[in-house]
Amino acid sequence: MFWLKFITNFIKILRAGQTPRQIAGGFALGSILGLSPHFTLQNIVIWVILLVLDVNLSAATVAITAFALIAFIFDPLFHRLGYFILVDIESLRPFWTSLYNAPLAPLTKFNNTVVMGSFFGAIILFLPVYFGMKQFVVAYRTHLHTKIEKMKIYQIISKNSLVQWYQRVRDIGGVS
Amino acid sequence: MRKKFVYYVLIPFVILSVVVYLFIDTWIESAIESAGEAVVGAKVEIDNLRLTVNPIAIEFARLQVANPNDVWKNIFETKKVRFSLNFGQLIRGKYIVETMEVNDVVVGTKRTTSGFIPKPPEPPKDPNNPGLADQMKTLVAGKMNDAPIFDLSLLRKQFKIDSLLNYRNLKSVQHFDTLKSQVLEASKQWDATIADVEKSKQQLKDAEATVRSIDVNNIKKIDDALALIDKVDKTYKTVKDLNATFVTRRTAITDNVNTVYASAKLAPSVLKSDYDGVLALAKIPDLSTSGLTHLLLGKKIFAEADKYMYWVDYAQTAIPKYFPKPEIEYPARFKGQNIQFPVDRAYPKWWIKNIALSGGEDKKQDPEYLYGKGQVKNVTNNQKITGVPLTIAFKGTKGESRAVTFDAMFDRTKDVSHDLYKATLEGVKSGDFTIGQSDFLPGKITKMITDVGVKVDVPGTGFDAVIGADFRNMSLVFERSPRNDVERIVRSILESVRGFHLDVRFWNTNGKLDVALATDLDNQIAARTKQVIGEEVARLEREVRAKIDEKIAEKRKEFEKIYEQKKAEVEGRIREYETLINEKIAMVEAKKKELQDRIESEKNKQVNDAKKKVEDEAKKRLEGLKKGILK
Repeated sequence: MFWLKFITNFIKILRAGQTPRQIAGGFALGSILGLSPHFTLQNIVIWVILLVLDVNLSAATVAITAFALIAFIFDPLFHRLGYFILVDIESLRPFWTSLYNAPLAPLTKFNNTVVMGSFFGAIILFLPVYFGMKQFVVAYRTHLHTKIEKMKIYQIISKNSLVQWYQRVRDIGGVS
Repeated sequence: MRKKFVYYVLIPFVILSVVVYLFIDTWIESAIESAGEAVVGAKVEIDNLRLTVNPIAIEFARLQVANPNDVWKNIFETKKVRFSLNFGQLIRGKYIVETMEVNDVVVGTKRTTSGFIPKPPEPPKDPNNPGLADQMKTLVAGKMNDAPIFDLSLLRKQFKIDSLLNYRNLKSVQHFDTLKSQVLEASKQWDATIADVEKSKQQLKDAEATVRSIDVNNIKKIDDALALIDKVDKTYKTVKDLNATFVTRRTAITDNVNTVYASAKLAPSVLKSDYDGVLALAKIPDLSTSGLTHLLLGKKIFAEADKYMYWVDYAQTAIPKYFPKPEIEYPARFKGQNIQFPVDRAYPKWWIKNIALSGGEDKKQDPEYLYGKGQVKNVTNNQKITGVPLTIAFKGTKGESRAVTFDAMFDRTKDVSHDLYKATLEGVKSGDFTIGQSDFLPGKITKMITDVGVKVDVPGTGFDAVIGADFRNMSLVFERSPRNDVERIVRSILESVRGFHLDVRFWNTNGKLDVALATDLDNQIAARTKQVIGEEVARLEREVRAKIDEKIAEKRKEFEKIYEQKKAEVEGRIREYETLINEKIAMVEAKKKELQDRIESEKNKQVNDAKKKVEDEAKKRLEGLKKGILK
């Protein structure tokens, strides 16, 4: 039910409310967290940015979930990418060595191939995700919204007794 | 900035930080006390611990470590202690301390509260690997028997050899009894082996029948003879195979017979153990130097040594050895590969590189308090990584005339641990040093000054401790008058000297702790004792030895009788079978030769017949030719 609420909120936000930039910003930052396989120092920094900046948290949560689910598929790719960055680029080795001996380095787990590969991948994907999401929100609000509401699948889900029961329970005492 | 973030995250975070800041000192204090108590087994108390953040350092006003063996005293007590932690390694979960300052250390202070804590159940001891303290208890129990009888008239009166000798307890008698059962057991095996060999008698009979069925005179053709030779060869091979099997088994039995006999030889150590055991039961005194020194000083020295063995054992078990134990892993679907880069240096989980100790004063409790200073280096959980052993160096003075030094090394850098201790104590005034024992010259040294030097080497499970002590300015008091000549001799020698030197050595070879005690008075005491009672003691010793030898000879005879009987039986059966098999071999060989001779003669006959035929034909043709020419 918690997730249903999030998705409902997310759809509401797509429809109206916060600006496309806020939604896209939350979604793009969430994508970095979702792709990361471990809890690391850089994740804390991203969380702080996420909480400090006025970006959409529902979009971030959806992105974290969605990207965490698909990240497993890309693990081999991230491993190769991380291995290439950490091992094959000779010119970077002195930098990694000094970072490895630096005090805070163990908290970043940067020497793990999947951590390095996924973080690097997420940084590269950040701008495309941001702009892609922004375009999608604008497009949704202008064209897609009415089309989706007319879709049979949307109507079946929205008329589903479980969803209706949930909405009734949710609305007891006023809609939040 | 969003308001919800401030209300739900930032403010709770600040409140949590304040709570942690207020209570972290108490938490760290409790954690260190609990860890210390787990190691020491008695209360460890820290007062006013304070954590500073920049640099990360801990400081406390007082530390007391209670003595688990005397809970109303501390092992030591300190005043201000301060140490800072390496921040870089702390982030990696490692506690590295460059220098720990420990000020005003006072040893053995009294406590106002008990330092007792309930002990956790001890892990079961390995009976095959007893600690040094346990070995010392066993050793003392063995050495501190009742004193031997030095009164010759009483010794003669009580000396009843037959009642003392319980032959069943003599190891040499047990040895021959065991051998007798071994012979009986072995003879069963010999019988079984011979019976097995004798099963082949039927095969020998069959071979004999085959050979006897061949009548050489009936052979008409060479081919028949050759076929029979082939048959005899096969029989010969069967008999030879049986012989080979027999020879192998005969060798095994002979070897076993010889082995049983060889083990009848008694080891000198077994004999010595029997002699010594009976001499001790008879309370015949050991007039050697070590025997008398044990009686005079052993009880006190062993009791003193036993106190310190606990700490040697403690160091062996408490200072960690490194056992590489990988943590259990729960691999994710794809967890990546950790790339290792060169590190400046590796660190263990915790490492205090240097503890600087400075002594404190304790005039209130002890006007002659111990004042000293020293260094403890490289306290760590893993010496394999640091590569350096834990060392302690301490020097101190007590009062004006006493000096103490203590140096120790605990090496766990290699697979086999190695501990080394050196200590000296100079000018120790003592007024209560018991000598002798209740049944031999009980007394006390009421006043003396002692200088002691101790060196203890503990390589792996080995142990070698050498103690040298000089007793000087000595005053003696004896509890009673001497009861026999030996007590009188020892007493008169001790009364005439003001001091003596004592050497003690405890060592552990082949897993057994042993001890040697010697003083520079030993030769004097032993020589004078031997003069007085030596001849009588020697006669009694001879009597004991003769009696034991007599019993051993009797037992040896019993064993040899059974052995010879069983040996004769098995050898008889072996000879019988050997004769039988040799007969058969000879018979087969004779038959084979007979056949070969027959073939040879048949061949010669056929050659001669052919020759004659040719000659006759030639003659006939010559006659014909002659007649033709004459015509």
